[in-house]
Amino acid sequence: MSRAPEQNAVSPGLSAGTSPITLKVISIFWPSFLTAGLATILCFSVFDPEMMLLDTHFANASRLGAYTSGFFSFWVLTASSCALTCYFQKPCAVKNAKSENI
Amino acid sequence: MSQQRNKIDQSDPFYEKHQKIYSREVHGIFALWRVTGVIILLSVYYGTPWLRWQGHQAILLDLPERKFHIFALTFWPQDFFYFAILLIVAALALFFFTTLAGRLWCGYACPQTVWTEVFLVMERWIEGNRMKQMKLDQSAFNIEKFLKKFSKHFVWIIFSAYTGFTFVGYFTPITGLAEKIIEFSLGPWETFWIVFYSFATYGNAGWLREQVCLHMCPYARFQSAMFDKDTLVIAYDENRGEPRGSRNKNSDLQEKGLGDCINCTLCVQACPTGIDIRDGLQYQCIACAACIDVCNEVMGKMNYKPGLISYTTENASHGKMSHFFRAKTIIYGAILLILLSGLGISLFTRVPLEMDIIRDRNTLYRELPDGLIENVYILKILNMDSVAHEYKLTVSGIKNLKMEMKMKLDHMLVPSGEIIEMPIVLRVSSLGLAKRSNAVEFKLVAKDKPALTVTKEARFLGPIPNH
Ligand code: SF4
Ligand code: SF4
Repeated sequence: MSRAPEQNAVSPGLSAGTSPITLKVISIFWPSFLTAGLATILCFSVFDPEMMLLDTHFANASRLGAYTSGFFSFWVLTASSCALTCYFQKPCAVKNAKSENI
Repeated sequence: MSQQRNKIDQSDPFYEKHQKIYSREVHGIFALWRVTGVIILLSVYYGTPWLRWQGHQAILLDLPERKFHIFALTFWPQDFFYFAILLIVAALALFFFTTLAGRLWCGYACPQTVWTEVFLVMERWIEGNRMKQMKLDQSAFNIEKFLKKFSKHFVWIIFSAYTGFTFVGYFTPITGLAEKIIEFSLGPWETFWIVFYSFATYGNAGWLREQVCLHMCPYARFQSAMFDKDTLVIAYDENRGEPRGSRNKNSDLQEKGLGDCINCTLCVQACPTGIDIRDGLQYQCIACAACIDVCNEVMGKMNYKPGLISYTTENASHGKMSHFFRAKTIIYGAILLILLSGLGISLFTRVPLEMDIIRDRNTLYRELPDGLIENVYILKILNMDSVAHEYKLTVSGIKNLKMEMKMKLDHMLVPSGEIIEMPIVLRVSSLGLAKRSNAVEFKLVAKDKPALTVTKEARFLGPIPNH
């Protein structure tokens, strides 16, 4: 049922979608960004990095630096978990099909 | 076509190629509201860090110093509770307004909408209107195209950079930040976050745009759960509009068997998320009302009644009454009210004083030659008030407990916003200890203001009593 075939010519926006790669990138880096942010807030409102690092090599690091590295460490962690989720999402059938080909 | 698009969408969203949406500029009452909103929100965003209050930045979430200044109040990490409650209040408020008015937030107040709007203005300013933009993008590469694209991205980047600077200015004093930029002495972390936030602004408002709403916004995903038949939504009046079709201005609709929709597709062209509202309410619709404005203009030109597309509720569009008060709104409203008043009361009665007693971890206890048992703690007093206070510390819980420290126990002066930290020693005769681990209670009182009182429990450890 095609009611208005001319629309697409008028608005390329009609076929707007997002490329599979962009979607993958978003689903790996975006949710992990949010949770990493949350983890950073929780972690550093409980622990003062200055106290945590007092006895280490990084005793002279600024708090801002510690927050930043903390955030990115969390992000790496959460992003890898998102990446694993994406990886395991591939249906078994696809895997089977591949091994049959060998 | 749009049906066909939906089909592709459902079968395999992964194989669609993204195409840029060129949304048409819209004039009308809702566009006016949105522009007003954009101007107010942006002024608040860019202006707030420059506000001063009694010699300091009025709103400064000072992360390096771990204190949040909000006008006269100073918050510490120990006040995290308020922050958590505030987040819950914000979430509930969003639920409440969504139930009432649908995605009002998305269309007028969401930073994604607000900044995209500004970026669109700059884009139109440099590249011209929608048709010109499409032409430009399709044209072969030449000097004019290069200059236009270059200036657009240049302006976007400058604007984003200022946005990033302002953002960091909420977290470190903005005047200092500005000075450091002028002197080229900005620290690496500040630089990093300014660049990071600028890049996020540029990417989100310049490139991703509606894709943020479609694929990244958690709110967009669950907002429909809050909808009911009385929620304000944007809808096309199918009964009135269909059958759609082109016609001359003065043709007789009855005779032609047409509805009011002239099928000019302007509503689709105006839509920033590229959907056709005439297909019904869709998850992609951010309720920006651009389609209402543009359609009303068309209706005006055709001498038809406005409101073919309008803000309405499901009940209203079926000719029923819409209800403002209903179970959902009453419950959300009540919880919101309770939380807000709770927050207000607890802020009002907040004791701006914190004490921490941390046991010395190296030795559990020490037995002194004269039969006394000694425990060492670190005492921390944090004066969160705006003036200095003198405090008095007492301890109770074990008979004949003696307390000793460097400062005078009843004259501890702590300046406003400062922490003092020092070892404190408790001693008691081993005969007085009935158990291995005994509760002791420290009590700290401000001498000039007894309302400022905090107590803290700690453990006093000794040997296993051999009686
Ligand atoms: S703008 Fe109004 S008249 Fe034009 S296509 Fe959309 S609904 Fe129909
Ligand atoms: S359908 Fe209308 S209200 Fe919804 S996003 Fe598109 S233009 Fe805005």
